[in-house]
Order: sequence, then structure tokens, then C-alpha cells
Amino acid sequence: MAISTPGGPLVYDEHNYLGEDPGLTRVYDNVMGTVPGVLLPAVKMVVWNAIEEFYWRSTWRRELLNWCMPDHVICVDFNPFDGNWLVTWVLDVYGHGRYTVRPPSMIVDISTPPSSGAREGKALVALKPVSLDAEFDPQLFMNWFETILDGTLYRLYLQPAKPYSSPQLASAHARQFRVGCQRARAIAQKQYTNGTGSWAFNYYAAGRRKS
Amino acid sequence: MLMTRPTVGQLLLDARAVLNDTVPITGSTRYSDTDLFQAFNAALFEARAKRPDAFLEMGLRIDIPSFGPGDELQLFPLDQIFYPLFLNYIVGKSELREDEFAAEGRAVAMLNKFVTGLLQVVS
Repeated sequence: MAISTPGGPLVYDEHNYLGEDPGLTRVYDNVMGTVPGVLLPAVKMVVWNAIEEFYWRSTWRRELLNWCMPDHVICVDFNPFDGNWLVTWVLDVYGHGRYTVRPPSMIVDISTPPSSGAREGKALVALKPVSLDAEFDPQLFMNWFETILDGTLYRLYLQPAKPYSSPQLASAHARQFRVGCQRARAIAQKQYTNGTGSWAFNYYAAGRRKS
Repeated sequence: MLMTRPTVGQLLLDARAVLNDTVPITGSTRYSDTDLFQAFNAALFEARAKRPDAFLEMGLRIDIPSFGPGDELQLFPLDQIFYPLFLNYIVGKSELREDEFAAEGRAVAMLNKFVTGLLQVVS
């Protein structure tokens, strides 16, 4: 693949033609090869919006954290999770006492009277990447490429007064994107097992014969 | 194959070719460099209003750059897909002052091609 640089000669990148991040480059190529007259900076903008919404809606990346509140401390903030990820939801809090969540990432001890001594427990949190430059989990583009592509296309087609504006296509891709997010959420809730999800008891286990 | 981005000066030269206004051996051009640069700057303003996404790389929260004589070697500031549209605009804007072209509607047609190209996919 040949890459042109502003004011410079062509650079040939034959060994790794998709660049440093093949997943993202694949999205860019698919969008720019499909949507007439779209510009790369606009694609990058909406790809990032789509990825952020995907993680926000699907809670695809989940982590179980151990937390500890020292004596006289009543809150813990889990943000930033690390240099590449932020907590976007606190899904569950485990531990003795009463806790409330202050969005997006803080838990507050609301016990009355205030608890004394150190407290500890666990929290299940959902994460989203900090920016498009963050290191995504490799599964994002392996399993959810079509969903990210749908999220990107619906945002582009929805834009007014562009050569590629199309409310009909936007509606179709938005529907597919939402379905993809729901599937990702369901799989994450089943702890990343994409099976049927329902446990079939033996016919005699319920105490009656299978009819 | 060597690919480089076109310059503003190249765009104005292309516009002069369409306007049939290349420099004669004697005499001067009908349209001055200042006139063509003004038309180019006006095209940037129009494009900024109609296609803000074209300015994402340059920055949307800054003033639109202004060009003038001496900036011929500056690179064309937007994506190359806008180059022919800007050519249409500069030609149309310049021809507006020519009674013949304005009366025939050629100048307005060139300006309309600019707007249509920005907003629609047309063949």
C-alpha cells in the first residue's frame, strides 16, 4: 500500500499494509470505500464516538476490583482505571455496609452511624477507552467489527447536508448497531460465554415427568 | 508515481487557464493575483459554512486562514477532493464581473457547481 505524506514522496508499506492498528485501519478503509466524499478526519471523529458508545452501552470490558476504605474515609474513586481506560459504570458493589454509587466511578459509604475502621470489598466496573489512541482489547475488532462499522456509518449518514446524508441508511445502521451492543452486553453478562445461556435441568430434577 | 499536494499557486494558474487569462507577452492579465486570492478566500468561507468537516484537520475553533499574493507556494489547505470545486468557484466568481458571462449565466452555473459539489454526489 502506498501512503502519501503532505509535501513528501510516497511511502511504501508492503510488510504491514494495514498500518500499526489493523482493526482501526480496516474500519477506515471500509467506511471510505463505501461512503462517497467522506473525509478521513470526519471518519476518525465518528469512529471514536461509535467505539465510546459501544463500550458505554454494552459494558463489554468489565473488571472486578478489590477496594479498601481506610478508617475515617467514606468514598473510593476508581478513576482513572489506568492510562488507557476509564471506569464508565459501577455495575455492582460487594462488601459489608451500605454503599451508593456516585457516577461514574465513585462509591460512597452511607452507613449511619458512619462505619469505623477499615472496610474492604469488591466492585464490578465497566470500562471505556480514554481515546482513540488507547490500546483496545484485541477482541473489539475481531468480534465486533461489524457493530463498530454500523455505529460509524449511522453517524455519518445522519449528518445533514453532506453528499452522503441518508436518513434511511442511518436508521438501518443505527438499528444494527444497537442490536450489536445488546448482544455484546448479553455476552458480557454471561461472563463472555456465547452459548445458549439457559441451563437445561434433567426432566426428573423438577420432581415431575417430562410430558 | 510521485504524489504531492497541489499548491494554492497551482490552483490560481489552473483558474487562469479556464478564464483564458494566461499572461500575454505584452500587457497584463485581466484578473490580478489579488482578485483571484480574494475569490479563493471567499471559497474557503463558503466551504467552512457548508462543509465544516473539511476543516476538522485544520481546526474548527480557529479563524479561517486568509491567503494573498506571496502565498502561491502554500499547500492547498483542504483535502484534494475540493480542488476542482474551488477551481469552479474562483472561475465563477471572477466571471461575475464580465457582463457577457454573467448575462449568459455561465458564472452563476460555475458557482452553483461549487455548492452542488460540496453538498451532493453528482456525476
